[in-house]
Amino acid sequence: MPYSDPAGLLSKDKMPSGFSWHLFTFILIIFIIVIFGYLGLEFGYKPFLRSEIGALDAQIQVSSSGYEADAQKNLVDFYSRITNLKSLLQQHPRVSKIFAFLENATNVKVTYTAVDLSVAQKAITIDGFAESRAVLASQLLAYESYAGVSQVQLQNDAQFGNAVRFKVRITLDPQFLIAP
Amino acid sequence: MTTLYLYINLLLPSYNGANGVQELRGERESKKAIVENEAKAEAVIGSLIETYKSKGLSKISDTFSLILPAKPDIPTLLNQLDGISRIDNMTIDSTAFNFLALKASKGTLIKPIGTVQMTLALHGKYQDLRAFVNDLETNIRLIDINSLKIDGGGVPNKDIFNYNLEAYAYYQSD
Repeated sequence: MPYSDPAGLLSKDKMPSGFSWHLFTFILIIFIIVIFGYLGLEFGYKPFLRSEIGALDAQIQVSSSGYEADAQKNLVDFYSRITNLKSLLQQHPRVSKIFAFLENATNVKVTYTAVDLSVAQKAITIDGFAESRAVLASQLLAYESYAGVSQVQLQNDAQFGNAVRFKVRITLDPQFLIAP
Repeated sequence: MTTLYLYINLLLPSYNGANGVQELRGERESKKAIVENEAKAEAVIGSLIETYKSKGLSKISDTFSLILPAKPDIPTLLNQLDGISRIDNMTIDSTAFNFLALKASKGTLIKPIGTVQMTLALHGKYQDLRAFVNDLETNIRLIDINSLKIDGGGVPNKDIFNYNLEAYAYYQSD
């Protein structure tokens, strides 16, 4: 069936003259802008950015090898050694302090058969003989009242002839062996 | 339609897409920042190196190497123990050395610390042990005494005791 145009919308004399030309020109301009924009980005701006990135890469390469390797190594070594020494010296134990403790805190009526110091456990285990239980009790009090002792634990005691054999574990304050 | 097609398929990917202008700009800015940071870091390193050279810190560094050497250096350690024991009239009956696992470092520029565990069996007088322990503590190479056991006390007229001493010496591993 043939198409009819009862309202006459498609008749040439009803279409505004020049309309298609304006649209065409506008689209053409946009088209040209898109094409030139694309060409400008692809062949102008992108190569420019790439060359700048290349120059920056070269600068990074140069600057990382700017100083003599030996000088850098020595400096890092020096810094590392100072830092490591500082941390080691902060924990450097002064075991000789237990001699003063043993000499000053021991009753003259007490003798030791073995002394075992553990720096990690901060504890001294002492095996010895006391003249009597009263002497042992006073010895335990002497340990307890010594500065730097946090706990005294009598592990066992037994009559041994005329003396009393004992074993005591003394726990020291954490800083007792560290402080200067 | 063609213009729209070109805009979507050429211009937009060229600007926003992979390897596009925006990506390249981002890369350029991040590299600029690296260059600037490196320049600042270099200035600091340069001044540190100059200070290190000009103030004779390399000599101090040599002294530090004696306290904390770059390797276990057992021969020097053995010599030091022998020297101290001779000075303090102590007799070393036996020594044993054991290498403990490296301690992890606390930073990227800090090298790990290696530990040599030493076990010594000795005998001598109590007063000499005092001096020996004191000399070990103040030895040029850092030595930490970890345990000390004194045996053989409580016997009348006996002044020579047996000792077992465990200590750590350190080195800075490369």
